[in-house]
Amino acid sequence: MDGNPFQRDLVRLRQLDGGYESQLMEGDPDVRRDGKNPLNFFHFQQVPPGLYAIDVYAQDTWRTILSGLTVKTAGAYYGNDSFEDPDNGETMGVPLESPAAPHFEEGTPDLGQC
Amino acid sequence: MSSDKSTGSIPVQVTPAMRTRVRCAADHADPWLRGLYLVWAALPVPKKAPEPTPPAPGAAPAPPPAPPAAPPPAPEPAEPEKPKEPEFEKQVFAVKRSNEMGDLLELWTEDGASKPGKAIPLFPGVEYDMYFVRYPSETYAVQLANALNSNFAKGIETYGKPKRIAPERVVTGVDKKTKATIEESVIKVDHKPELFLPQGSTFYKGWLLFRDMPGTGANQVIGNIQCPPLRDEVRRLQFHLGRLRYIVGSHYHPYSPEPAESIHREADDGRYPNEGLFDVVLWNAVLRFQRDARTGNALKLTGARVPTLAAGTFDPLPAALDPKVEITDSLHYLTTAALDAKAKETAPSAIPAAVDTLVEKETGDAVKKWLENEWRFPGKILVAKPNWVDWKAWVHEDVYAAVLDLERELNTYGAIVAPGGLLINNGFRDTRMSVYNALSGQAIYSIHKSGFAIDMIMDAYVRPYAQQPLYFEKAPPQPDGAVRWTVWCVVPDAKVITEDLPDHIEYADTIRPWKYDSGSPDGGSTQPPLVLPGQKFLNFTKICNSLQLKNIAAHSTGWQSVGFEEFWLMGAQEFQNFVNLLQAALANGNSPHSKVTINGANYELQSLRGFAGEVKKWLDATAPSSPAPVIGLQPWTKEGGKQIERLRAKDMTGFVLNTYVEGYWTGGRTSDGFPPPEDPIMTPADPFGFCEEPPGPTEGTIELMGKETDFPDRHMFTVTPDFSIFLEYGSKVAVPLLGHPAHMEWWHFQYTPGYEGKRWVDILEEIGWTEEGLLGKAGNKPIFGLYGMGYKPGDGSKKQGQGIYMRAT
Repeated sequence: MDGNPFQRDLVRLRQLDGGYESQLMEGDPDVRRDGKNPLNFFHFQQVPPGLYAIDVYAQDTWRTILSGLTVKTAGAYYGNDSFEDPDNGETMGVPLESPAAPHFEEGTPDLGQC
Repeated sequence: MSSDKSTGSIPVQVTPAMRTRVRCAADHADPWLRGLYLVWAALPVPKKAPEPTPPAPGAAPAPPPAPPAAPPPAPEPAEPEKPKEPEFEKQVFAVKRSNEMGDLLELWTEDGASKPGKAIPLFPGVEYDMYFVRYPSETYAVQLANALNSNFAKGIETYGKPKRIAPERVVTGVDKKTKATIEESVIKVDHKPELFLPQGSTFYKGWLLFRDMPGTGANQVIGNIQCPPLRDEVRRLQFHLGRLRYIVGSHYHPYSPEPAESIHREADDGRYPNEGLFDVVLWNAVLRFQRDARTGNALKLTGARVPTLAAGTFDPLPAALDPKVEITDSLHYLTTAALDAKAKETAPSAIPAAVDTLVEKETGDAVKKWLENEWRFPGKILVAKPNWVDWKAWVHEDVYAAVLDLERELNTYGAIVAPGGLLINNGFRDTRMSVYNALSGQAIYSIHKSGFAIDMIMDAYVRPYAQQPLYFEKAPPQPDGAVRWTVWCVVPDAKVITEDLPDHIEYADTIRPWKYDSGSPDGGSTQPPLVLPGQKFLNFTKICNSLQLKNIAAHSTGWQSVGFEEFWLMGAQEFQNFVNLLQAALANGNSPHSKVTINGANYELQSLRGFAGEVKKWLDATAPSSPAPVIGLQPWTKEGGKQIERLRAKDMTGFVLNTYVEGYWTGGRTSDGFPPPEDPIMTPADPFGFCEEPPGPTEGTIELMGKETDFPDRHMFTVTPDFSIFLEYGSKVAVPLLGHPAHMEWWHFQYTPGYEGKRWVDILEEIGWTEEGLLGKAGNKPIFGLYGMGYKPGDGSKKQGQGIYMRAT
């Protein structure tokens, strides 16, 4: 999520209307990265139908980044819209590290007086 | 994730969540918003799960649900477990802060210090509740998040409802290595002030203005990197505070900003383009204004001035942009009129100290009130004499009276002055100049920066200015050992006054002027008596001293030659030093008799201009190959190939290179002296008839003729150019270390009542500076984590060293 090698990404899938809850951390067998593509795949297994929240762990606390993901036999939905995307990141590059504009240096004039 | 189905699991991949950046919705050179706070939360889950989606039109209807199976016989069938009703999860707001790349990182603190943390990803296309906060520290955003989390209803009463915004998934570039498109989650924000908290003053269209605010771009010199509305409001603020006589510009025009286009004007050194830029100078001006407004401290302007701001809108008029108007109108800002008791309330509401350097509601409203009432800064201002147009000649208002007195005395006693009136070379110096290191002839804590020092006009430090001639003599030896000068102006005989002369008026028929020589260890010499037919000399220094304009001593060093730098050309560094010293000596222009020694022969410095050009050109063309001046090349390497191409450049045509080839080379189209091609040698034992090349080395010359020039391609070789004066690896050279006339200071006078007994910071505060605006990190007076110009605190003692708290001298 942020390229921080000292804190592995931790994601939680939590059922709001039932008992299912599962956490996956970067490095777990169910978390994979597809080659050089910039997406991490967190594979939650055997998820029963229901209403879910997706939380991310950061700074010693869980933050909800999505509430109301509906899992059905027909798929995953957010509201009335499908929330599915087969993207594996193959066509995605890595964001630039320093896209700042070029620096312009001013010369230091020599007026030659006290 | 997978879904449990009667027939088994089905893999489902959801939309990816991504790191998110925030930018201005408008396209300008650098749209990324830095330092923006985002108070955000995921939308609350609905109270009831949504109904199944109805089938699409035309699709086969869904099969009816299967009838429930008959319950098994049981004495008491158990109650079926009802699905848990989803609870309304309370939204929890958190704070993100965008970094230098516009990346939104979670804000957190450790040991009381704020640290950017992880970047929690957001889902593009999914709405979140958000507040955008523009504030120089996280305090406002944290306060907002805490208020919402403790009592959401009350929080939105105070701060308003959040905006419901979905990041967009956009292509922001192409990965240079993989050529894949870079897709990011981006939040685009329109640059409308009503979208942000807290709101600023309506006088600045609701924008809260502060230094380093989001939307001001990574490079703060080029204007088009900033969000246009911010640039416009900052520009208005600059002209407003300038009108109120707070310094916002340079020593060319202290009360108006410098246009960004100035960076393309090569001749305009020291202009510091800053129009529309909330820089340190404006930061200081805001701080000083707030303190004056808070304490009810202002002066009332009287009389008429050229309008520089439009009535009603207070937008800058063309006159505000004209430095000539600023000069000619400057005296109309002199006033001593205090505010009357009723008007003492200088701000509609008190400006809280916690908002120092922020132009928020109260500050913006106070600026407007001052402009409407024609009030101005209560301290001393800088003024310029109307005929000083086109000169960077502003002075402290207290010095101006002395300048007028000087002009009167010179006129009374017949001195030649410029037709439009007394001219000076410069007075007030921009505080941004010589902060860390003093430029040639300057002092970091110079009196010039207070406006109390003036440099009289002259030509290139050593000659009199034709329209207002001044000559200088070395004064008799001083008790303190310092070198001082006596300056003389010129009076036509017909204007000489002979009777009732006060003590400070002294005429002389002749003087013994100093002739500067940068190559002299004494810095020059006293010349024979000078007589100007039909004219006399008038002691300019005595008149200045009588008006408390004190002349200062020359710097102890810097204007005299310190001998020669002698060395052998044993490497690239020595060759470069030689070229640079030669260039510096020739540029000096004040060393008519200086000599340079090359391989034991002396040359007049001025006669070496051509030679200096040759060696400079050679150095520039061969620097990557470490010239000494000889260079070695391996033509089959990448570096060797590039160097050969540089030698083939058009501007190198004409150089003749003495060439030494490690192997056998028979020359090329523009070479001379190499052996002709020989018949191949066939050895009887060689059944394949391979040719055996004759052994090297070979020598000759190669004349550079652009692309026609051939070089050896299979052997290493060295080249030494044939300069107009013989020079080679190991040559011995001696270059004079010349002085610079700027260190003489004979033209410099400073107004002693203005600064004597005061500290340097005191005299700068008189014209509007603050300690915070002057001090760098060493002064430890940050405001919202920002420091001022960079000066040191120092009190002038051995322990503290030089600094703003030292005595002004």
